[in-house]
Amino acid sequence: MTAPPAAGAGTSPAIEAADLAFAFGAREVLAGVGLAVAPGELVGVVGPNGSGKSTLVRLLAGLAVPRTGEVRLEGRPLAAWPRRERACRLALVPQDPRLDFAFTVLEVALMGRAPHLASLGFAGARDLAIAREALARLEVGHLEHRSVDALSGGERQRVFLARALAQEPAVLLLDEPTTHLDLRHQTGLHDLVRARCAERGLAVVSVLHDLNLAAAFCDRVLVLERGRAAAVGTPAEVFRPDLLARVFDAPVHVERHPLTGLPVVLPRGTPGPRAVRASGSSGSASGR
Amino acid sequence: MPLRPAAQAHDVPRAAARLTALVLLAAAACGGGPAEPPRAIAARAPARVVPLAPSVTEIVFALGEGARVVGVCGQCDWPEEATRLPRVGGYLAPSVEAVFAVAPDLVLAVPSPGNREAVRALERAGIRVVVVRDRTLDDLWAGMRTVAEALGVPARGEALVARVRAGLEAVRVRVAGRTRRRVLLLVGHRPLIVAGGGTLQGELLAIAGGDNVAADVAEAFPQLAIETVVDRAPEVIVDAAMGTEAGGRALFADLASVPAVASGRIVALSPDALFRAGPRVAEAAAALAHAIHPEAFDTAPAPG
Amino acid sequence: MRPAHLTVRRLALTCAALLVLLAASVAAATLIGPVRASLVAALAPGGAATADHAILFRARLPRVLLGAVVGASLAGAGAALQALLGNALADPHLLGVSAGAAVAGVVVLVAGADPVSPLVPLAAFLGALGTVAVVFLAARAGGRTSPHAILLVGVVCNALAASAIMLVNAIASYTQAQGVLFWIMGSLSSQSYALVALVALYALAGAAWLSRHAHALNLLAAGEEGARTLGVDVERTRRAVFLGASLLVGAAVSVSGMINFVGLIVPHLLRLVLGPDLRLLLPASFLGGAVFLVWADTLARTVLGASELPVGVVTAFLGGPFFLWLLRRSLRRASGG
Repeated sequence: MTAPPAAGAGTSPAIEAADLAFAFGAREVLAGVGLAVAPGELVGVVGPNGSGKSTLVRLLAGLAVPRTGEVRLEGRPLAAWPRRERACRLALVPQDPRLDFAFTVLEVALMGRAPHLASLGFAGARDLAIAREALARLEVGHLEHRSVDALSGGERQRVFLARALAQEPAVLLLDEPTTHLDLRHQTGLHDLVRARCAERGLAVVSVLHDLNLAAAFCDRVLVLERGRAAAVGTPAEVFRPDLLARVFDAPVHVERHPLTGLPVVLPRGTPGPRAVRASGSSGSASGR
Repeated sequence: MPLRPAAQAHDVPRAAARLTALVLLAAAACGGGPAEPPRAIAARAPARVVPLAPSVTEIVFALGEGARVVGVCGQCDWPEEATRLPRVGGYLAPSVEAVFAVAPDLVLAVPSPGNREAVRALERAGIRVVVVRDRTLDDLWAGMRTVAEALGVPARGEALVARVRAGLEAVRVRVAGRTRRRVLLLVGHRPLIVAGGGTLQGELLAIAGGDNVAADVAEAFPQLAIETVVDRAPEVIVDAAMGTEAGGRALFADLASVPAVASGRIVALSPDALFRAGPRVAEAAAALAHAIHPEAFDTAPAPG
Repeated sequence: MRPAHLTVRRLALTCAALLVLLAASVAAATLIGPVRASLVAALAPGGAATADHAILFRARLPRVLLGAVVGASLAGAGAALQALLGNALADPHLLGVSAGAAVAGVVVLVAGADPVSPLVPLAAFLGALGTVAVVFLAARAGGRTSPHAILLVGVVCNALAASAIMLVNAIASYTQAQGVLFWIMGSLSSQSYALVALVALYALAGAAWLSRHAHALNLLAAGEEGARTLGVDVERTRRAVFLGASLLVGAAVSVSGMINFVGLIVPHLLRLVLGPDLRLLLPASFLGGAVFLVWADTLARTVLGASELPVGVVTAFLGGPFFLWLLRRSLRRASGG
């Protein structure tokens, strides 16, 4: 699977990559992976651990140089972009972000304005407004004064997302943004991101573990298997039980949800005493 | 690179700050040296003597017993014959091996933090060690007598004491009747260290017709602030520190309110004799007197 | 609870307040000493020849000013270095530059230079430059300046220098050893106004240089990759900050020996009060370090009466317990306190 289908007719991709390969020393991590994301599109990246998802995101962010292939941002190769300009258009929310020092929540959000500001980076009224709005939308605005290291993991993740949104990028890369978030915030975050996609034509690449979240929010999904693209397409196209079972090495059910029409992925588990019990007696603890 | 001659043996200046210095020199500053060893049965006078400090070397040679010296410390450079003798390590850290190598039957030492271990090792090996203190003039007289006795020439010891005392007396007489001058005796440039009260150097200063401006400071060799020097306004500054003469002058360059600076009376003296409690203290006193009361040494006859 | 973010106004006000505090401290410290001196007498007509004038303006004021400049340099470099290394427990002497300066100064002292001679600080500064070059080159691997490597090379330099100094001490004469020790412990002395002015200009230049990278250093707190995605040229920033901090420390040590803890305590305390934003913390550390050392030296000059302590002893006495407290605090924090 190499050539990704073109995104929406006529629009040039906000970010695209072709034939990316990367290796850590001798260990090949990615090979022949390509992707194109149109403005306003939310593309999910899924795959088992070690399939190269985070590496792909880092390559897209320009944090690593691919061995082959190139990444183009708004038509220009990443390397051709001056640092500041690139940071104005491309933002990354890393996995599990941390800070060495106890900055406040607002200070972190304001860091997102740095690419737009002059060297000493003092925020003007507009920058403050943008940062505060991002914080408010992520429901951490009331924590403005708090020190970041005093927050819970979920709150901290949302603060860093606010920082990325404050950058007002054209392309947003999210590396497992929901690991610490509860259900409400998982969906809330993606709602917000989708809204931005619609309002401002934000192009988003989001690495996700939760296949159902991917199915619910992503326009398209890229499935990675051992560093290669196993499939790319809409969730309905891509979430097939045989493909998923092979890629994730775990048997699954895929149902079509009666109301939304979206695929719903359920782990099947191996047949055993529980299955026998469920078919026989009532009220067995089969999970929530 | 030639070693600089060591300063006189004295306790490490005991400002609280010198903790680090004490650690470095690896000994507590409490005075007193190794204890006197039990009297070895000396059937006859010792034939092979090793003095472990320049001052004691000078005393032995002054007693006329230089022929018996078989090894000296590294800094022992007077008289000239001493320089040709085998070295047994530094004055602060004598080499026990080197001492054994010259097989002495008498070792002479002064109390010093650096040589305590070595002296103990020598005592354990059964070598007779005699320790003489060197803090004051009284220590000096007692030390000369002790060394003379240990060498079996007590009469010469008395004679030496008398001779040196006479030399000091001559200096005292030379400047008698002259108004005493306020003197600062500089031992170090930076840190600014001076000779305080209760030191041998202070006593020599007094004999030479000077009033030590730092005599009231309890420490032997205190570190002073420059402003204290300005405040005490010495009339003569004797620079016996290890640096250069230019350095000493630079130290006080702008302080015109200090009489010594205004009148240009900053005199550099070589530290050797001044910092050794030995037979040359009279010469040191004379040098001091020359610096403090130069007019007393003019040979031109008074007019009229 | 401190304000949520830094405004230009807050920066200006805080710096102004610290500046006033510094001016007051310099004035007060000049009037304090083991000896009584009258300002009125010194300033009266004809007062230039009096002992009061000499004490206040030749002995004390240059020393107080030197203390301010050295304190500023050390604390400013400390703040920058703590940000660069992402570690609030970093001290500028970790860089190894101080060690290089100390060795060069010690060698020159033992070779016979008068401790008062300008050769000593000059040699020390050359030693500092040499060490900066060595640490810098050694810590670059594949075109990247790694903070980890900087630290390690610095530790090695410090160890080597310590051995060199002990060796020199062993062969030096007794009084030379005194001078060497004094210099290593860290001490201020009454230097010429020319030298003080030179070091002050140098410190100002260093402060300006480091301030240009203050914002980038803030962004570096999110990690190297976080900073890069925000548009920071991480490599250039690291190089510039390392060089700036090293040269500041080198100059300070060249004139005053290794005064410990100033570069650790002052930025750390100020960060607790003012927050980690370097655009404020950096100038505040310069000013705060100046105030700190001026008072530490005043203590050193007066606590023993007529004789005086090297200021390095005072900062060590203050710094040791402080460091222990810091350690306890961060351990307690880490274990979920």
